[in-house]
Amino acid sequence: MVELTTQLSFSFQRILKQRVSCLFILFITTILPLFLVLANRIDNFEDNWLALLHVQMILHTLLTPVLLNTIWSGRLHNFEKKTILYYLRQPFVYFLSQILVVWLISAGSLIIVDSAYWVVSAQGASGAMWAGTVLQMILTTGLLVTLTGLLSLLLQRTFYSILLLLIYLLISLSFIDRPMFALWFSPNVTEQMVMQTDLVIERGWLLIWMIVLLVIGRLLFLKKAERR
Amino acid sequence: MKLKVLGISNRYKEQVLDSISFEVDQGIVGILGENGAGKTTLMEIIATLVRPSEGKVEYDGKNIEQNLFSVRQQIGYLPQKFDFFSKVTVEQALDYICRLKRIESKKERKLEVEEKLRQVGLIQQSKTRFGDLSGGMKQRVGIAQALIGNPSLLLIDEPTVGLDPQERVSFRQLLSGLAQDRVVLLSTHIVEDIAMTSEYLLVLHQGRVNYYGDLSTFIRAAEGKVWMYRGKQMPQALQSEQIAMISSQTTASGVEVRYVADHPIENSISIEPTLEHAYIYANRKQVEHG
Repeated sequence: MVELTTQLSFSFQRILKQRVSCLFILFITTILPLFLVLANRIDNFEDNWLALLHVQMILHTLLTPVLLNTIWSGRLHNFEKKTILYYLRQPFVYFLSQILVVWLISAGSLIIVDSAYWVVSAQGASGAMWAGTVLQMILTTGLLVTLTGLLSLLLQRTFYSILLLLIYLLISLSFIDRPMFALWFSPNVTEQMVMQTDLVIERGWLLIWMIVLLVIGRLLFLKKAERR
Repeated sequence: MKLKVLGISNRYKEQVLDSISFEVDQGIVGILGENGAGKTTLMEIIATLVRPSEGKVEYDGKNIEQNLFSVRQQIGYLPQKFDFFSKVTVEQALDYICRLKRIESKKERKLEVEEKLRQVGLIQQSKTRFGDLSGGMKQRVGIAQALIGNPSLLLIDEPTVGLDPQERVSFRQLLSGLAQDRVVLLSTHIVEDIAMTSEYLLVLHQGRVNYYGDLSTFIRAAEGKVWMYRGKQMPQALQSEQIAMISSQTTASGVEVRYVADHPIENSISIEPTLEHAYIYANRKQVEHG
């Protein structure tokens, strides 16, 4: 636990050092979609809300690798092995903490911006809708970050994962309507995913996928970090 | 710490180290060898980063297989070409290393970082980002991070490579003061690094120990084997395979050549050997005797 908190705080410190890049990415993925949706002047709040969620998720899919890349390039440098992992009983914690920090910032910024919009504009809208949306944000960004992390380990470059995530996103939008497999959904399906309890629960499967991805990621990471 | 290296061999595609054994319990041991002699591999094995193919290393009688992390907490390691995240400040980097070395209290960490920064002469640069430091300063940060937690074994791998002459001198002065109450292993291919810092010497040649002992005995072995020739021109005899030329320079009266040989050529006088001369003599002897 001590190792995890140490690594989390250092990863957080490092991502803050890249605050200009981070704020730019977070602006594009969270605030810009809000401006775009408001510019459309649709009177119905629920339609605005779902459109906002939809655009945010698509932009997040494309920019999560850029955000992760600010602290994890996909390659383990010699000095990381010899001066950091050297003192860790569980070296995987080093990688995990970077994934967790990006997930926290990614989901956190979405929740804060969207909840502020909700508080200001959602007069009489169902609270279940807000809860369903927040859950979708947490689960989807979690899957995105862990998948990006795994792809970065496989491809040795975090940036390269953008292409594979884009392909997965396009396939999800066009062909996959099952919440447990899709990265995100077509606009028509998005509303059901937020509102229908059974589909929201099915989306909970993403947690299982995240654990599976982390287990595979752990094996790959330890292979890079192990004693020769 | 009593460090025992017992019959270490290592093969990576080809034999890198062959039956290396030595013991040390205090002081600076300079590990000298040409590029590719196996110095870094030996350091990485002692640092517990690489498993040897044969043999073992004991740290105060402990074997690493059962005590890896407790042993690592006693080791300070400065790897070759030390690097860190460029945007992190020196102070933040060292604070992080303190936490990695299980110094939990914030107050203790602050004191430890300040003490180490003073020790390596970087207190003025504590707020400077690592990426903005010169090569010599980065190496000093490397030493500071290795010293955190007062390890009883300090491993320093090729610390002066890439430094300018002035940085080298001040880095050697820094190293000289680190051996109190601990073992320091300093690996280098630069003879002056060892001449100015070490009490003991381990010479590696093609993966084998060519010499292990104190510096003065090693130098004494070359007494009567180092010569200086003065003449109008370079004599043909100096081209012989029996002679290892150390230096040659043109003077007002001709040439002055220093060389190592069992027997001198004409117009030569015996000169007092230095570590460099002794090192050349020892390696030459090793080649001759296989």
